[in-house]
Amino acid sequence: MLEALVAIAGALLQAAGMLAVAPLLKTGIKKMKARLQNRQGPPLTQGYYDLAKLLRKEVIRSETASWVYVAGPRVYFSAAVAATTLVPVLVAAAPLEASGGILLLAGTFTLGRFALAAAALDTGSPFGGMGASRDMTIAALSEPALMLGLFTSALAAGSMNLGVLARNVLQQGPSFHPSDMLAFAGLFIIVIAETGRIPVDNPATHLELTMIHEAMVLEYAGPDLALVEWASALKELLYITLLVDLFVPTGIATSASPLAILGALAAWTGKVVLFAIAVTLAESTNAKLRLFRVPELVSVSLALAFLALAIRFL
Amino acid sequence: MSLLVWTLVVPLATALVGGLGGPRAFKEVTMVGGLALTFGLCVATAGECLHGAPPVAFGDALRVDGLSALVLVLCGFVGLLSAAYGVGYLRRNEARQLVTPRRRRQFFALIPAYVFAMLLVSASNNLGILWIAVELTTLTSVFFITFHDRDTSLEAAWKFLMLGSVGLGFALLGTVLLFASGQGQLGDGMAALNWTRFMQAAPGLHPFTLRLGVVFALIGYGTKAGLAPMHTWKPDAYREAPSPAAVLMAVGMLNGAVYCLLRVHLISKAALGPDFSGGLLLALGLLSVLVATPFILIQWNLKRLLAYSSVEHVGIMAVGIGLGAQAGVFGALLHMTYHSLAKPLAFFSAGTLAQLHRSSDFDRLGSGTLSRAPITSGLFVLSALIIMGSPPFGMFFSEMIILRAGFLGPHAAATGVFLGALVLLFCGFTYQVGHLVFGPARDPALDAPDPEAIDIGMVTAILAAILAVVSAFYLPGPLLTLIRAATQVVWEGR
Amino acid sequence: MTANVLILCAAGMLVSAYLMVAQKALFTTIRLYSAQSLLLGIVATAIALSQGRHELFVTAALTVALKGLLIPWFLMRVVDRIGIRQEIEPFLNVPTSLLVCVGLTVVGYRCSTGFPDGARGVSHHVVGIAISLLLIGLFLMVTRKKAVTQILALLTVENAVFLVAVGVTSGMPLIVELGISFDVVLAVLILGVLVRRIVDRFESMDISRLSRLKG
Repeated sequence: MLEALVAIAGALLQAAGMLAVAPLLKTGIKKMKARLQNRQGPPLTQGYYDLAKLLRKEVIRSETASWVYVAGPRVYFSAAVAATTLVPVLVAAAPLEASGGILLLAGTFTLGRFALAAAALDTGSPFGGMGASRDMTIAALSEPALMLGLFTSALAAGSMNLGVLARNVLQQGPSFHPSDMLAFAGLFIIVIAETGRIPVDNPATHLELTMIHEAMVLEYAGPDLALVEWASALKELLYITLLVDLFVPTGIATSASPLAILGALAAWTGKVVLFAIAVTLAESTNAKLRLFRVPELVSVSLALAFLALAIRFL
Repeated sequence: MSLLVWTLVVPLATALVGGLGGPRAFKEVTMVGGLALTFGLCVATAGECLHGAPPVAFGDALRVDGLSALVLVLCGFVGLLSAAYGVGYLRRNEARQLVTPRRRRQFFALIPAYVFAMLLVSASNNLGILWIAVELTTLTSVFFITFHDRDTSLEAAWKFLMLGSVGLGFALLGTVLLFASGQGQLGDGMAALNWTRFMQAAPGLHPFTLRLGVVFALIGYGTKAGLAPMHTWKPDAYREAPSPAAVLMAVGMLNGAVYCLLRVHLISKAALGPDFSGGLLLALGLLSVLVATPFILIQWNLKRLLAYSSVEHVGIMAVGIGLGAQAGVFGALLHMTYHSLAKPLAFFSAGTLAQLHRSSDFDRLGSGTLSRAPITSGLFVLSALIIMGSPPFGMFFSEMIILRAGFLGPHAAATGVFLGALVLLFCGFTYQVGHLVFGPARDPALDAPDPEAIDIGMVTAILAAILAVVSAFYLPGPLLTLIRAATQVVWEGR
Repeated sequence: MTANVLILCAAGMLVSAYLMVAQKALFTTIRLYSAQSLLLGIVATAIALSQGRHELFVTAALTVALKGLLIPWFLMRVVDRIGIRQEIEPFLNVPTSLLVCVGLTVVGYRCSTGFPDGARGVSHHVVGIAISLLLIGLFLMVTRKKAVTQILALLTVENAVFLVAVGVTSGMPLIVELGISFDVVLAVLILGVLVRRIVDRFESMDISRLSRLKG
């Protein structure tokens, strides 16, 4: 009973913390990109201001839309928040890890994505349908790649539970097995694909030919849009945390002492910043791919993930 | 400097001199003279090998045993012939303004350079030097293939260089793996790649690595030799290269590549027994002979015809070696010798015919060349008879020896197929040559060919013809001894 | 420690080969090759350091200088002069090519298990990756139509052979390595000249158009 309470409390704390930090990450990447382009970029708190502004706005919904349209952003947001409880962030254990591991995580993301896509179709606008279909095309390849990449670590640890994975990698020490390298490379591409960054999708565009994620959320305004934006930022932070804590878990706290947690916070922040820099560089040095080239890029990631798994057996 | 080193320095010096400017007579004399001197040195080196210990240089990196001596002499001979014919060939092309001064300088520099590279291959004891020398011949050949600057030259050069580089990449991998199989037993430094060291360490080589290395090396050097299925560069390259260079490639480099195959085969034989590499060589040789047959029947170009004939001959040599009998090896080496004596004549006469008609395509050559160029056509028919393997010429005997060894050994069925392919090739070749030379004289409305002239090229061809015919009935004693010595090296591995 | 660096760099080379398979832009393919060669130089240096073979330092420096810098610069100049920047549709589309490459990697790894323990401190992963790289290079050469991509595939094969050399034997004798590097550079120079001439004559780098010589 007590453990359940502790777990729930930990889950709430982790979710709240991630939610709080997510807009900071998003704005941070924007600012780094701007700096690379010799511009000033927005101030780091801009993300919060934008969310606040959106939340205060009036709710505007299409008259022809049904409950699916209303539920879409809410399910998307809830799924993202739920996913945070499955991932080890500061401590080498996820708060609700007993309820599931890799498959549950992938399933949660898919649930959110499905809800958003269905809502986009529900509006009846052509942009929504177009964005939904494009997003699903990419998802068809990136989800298996994500799962295969994570399965590689799962195979080494003997469990699909993310907390167990993190603890196992911590125990074994840094591994330089080529399959881990390949899985990391594959998952890096997946992070780019799932978070809708160049070269897969341009998060700042609203041109019909180039939108993918933006097309799906084009119809939203006010609080609905705030939920979607927040959830996207949270997903981004979550993916990066997942990658960082599974492959380079040094510094993660193994006990609940405040000192260990502060140290883990510092380590986590540092690793996330480094990863964000890598993502920014990847974005700034590549041009956006044409739509039907995107499956090729994601196929590379799928091939690498598959190979990583195969090499474990060879 | 020892005789062996002089043998290599002279063609290199000739090449350097040839690359400089100068009056034409001077350059022609230098090239032919230099390569004649080279041939003399080759014979002297071979003599030194037969009468005493094998000459060595650079601490065993170069070593001339019986096999090397044979290949050395044959390559030197072909180099001399090619230079002599080349002078006449170039003169004729220059008279038609087909050759720029740059190309002319390249010609006089690259022919001796090619000879140098070939001789380096034959004298190499070190597998690394062997590879580098073969790569040098490949790079030099590219300049020959692009000599005429046609569209088809570029295509041929690209295919040649790509395929050749892949083949050499395989050969390099094979060499690396052979080296790897002997880790800890071959010693250190440069000498660790010496073939003699490999033969000494043979029983202790790691079998898996050695097998893999032998396969890659045989396929790689087989690409250079032109064994099927890696022969596809040959027809294009022989068609595009000027005939003197084509002779060097078809005879000299063929011998060199067979030499490389033999060295690898000997290592494999000593370590794994004769069946592994012997079986592979037998299969490749048989495939080459089989593949050459249909292409000769449907051929549209004279020099490509000769290229497929060359594929056939290297196949015969590979089969002879792969059969695993001592008689087979003797037959293969005898075949190599006769091939080196007779093939130049084929290229010379075919080359002259092509030059007279300004093209080597059959539809431009027409038929019935006997009436238009009697001497050259006669020489061509003679050369065709010889290389087809008809009696009483030498190749008939070498093929008989190989066939006998095959039928008496365990591979009788394969030998039967081999015999069938040879017969088909004979028929196909006869058809093509007969149609070309003896057919009805073609429509005089097409461009009339130039008349023949007795120039140095023709003289060389006639000399080559005399040599080829004479050698059918009489091989000089020393040459026979050399072939026997080479057979002994291959059979005993020392 | 050395083993980790070796595996890291070897895995990086394999990733670069996969990216080359999926790549259309010629400049990026050349840069990927350059990165591959640099990683190869690091592998050679690591082995040289760990086993005290000083000749390998020279070879590593040569690899970085020639294959990592000189040859890519030369090829980029060729592509620049020609003005053709993109690979056209290859004979096999990208996802199928990737599948084939995965298969080839598995084959390469199976082959590597038969080798004896290579140079001390080098695991069978390096050899497996080297053989996989060789097979992928050959596959690229066969399925790509542009001349420059075929050259890069050939160079990948050469890189793979060198990786096998340092992985299984801790390096060939220095003079041989020098000769081999020299030969490779010469071959690339000649190939570059040929590409220029082909483009001048045929107005395209598409090798599948060079098909007049048949039979």
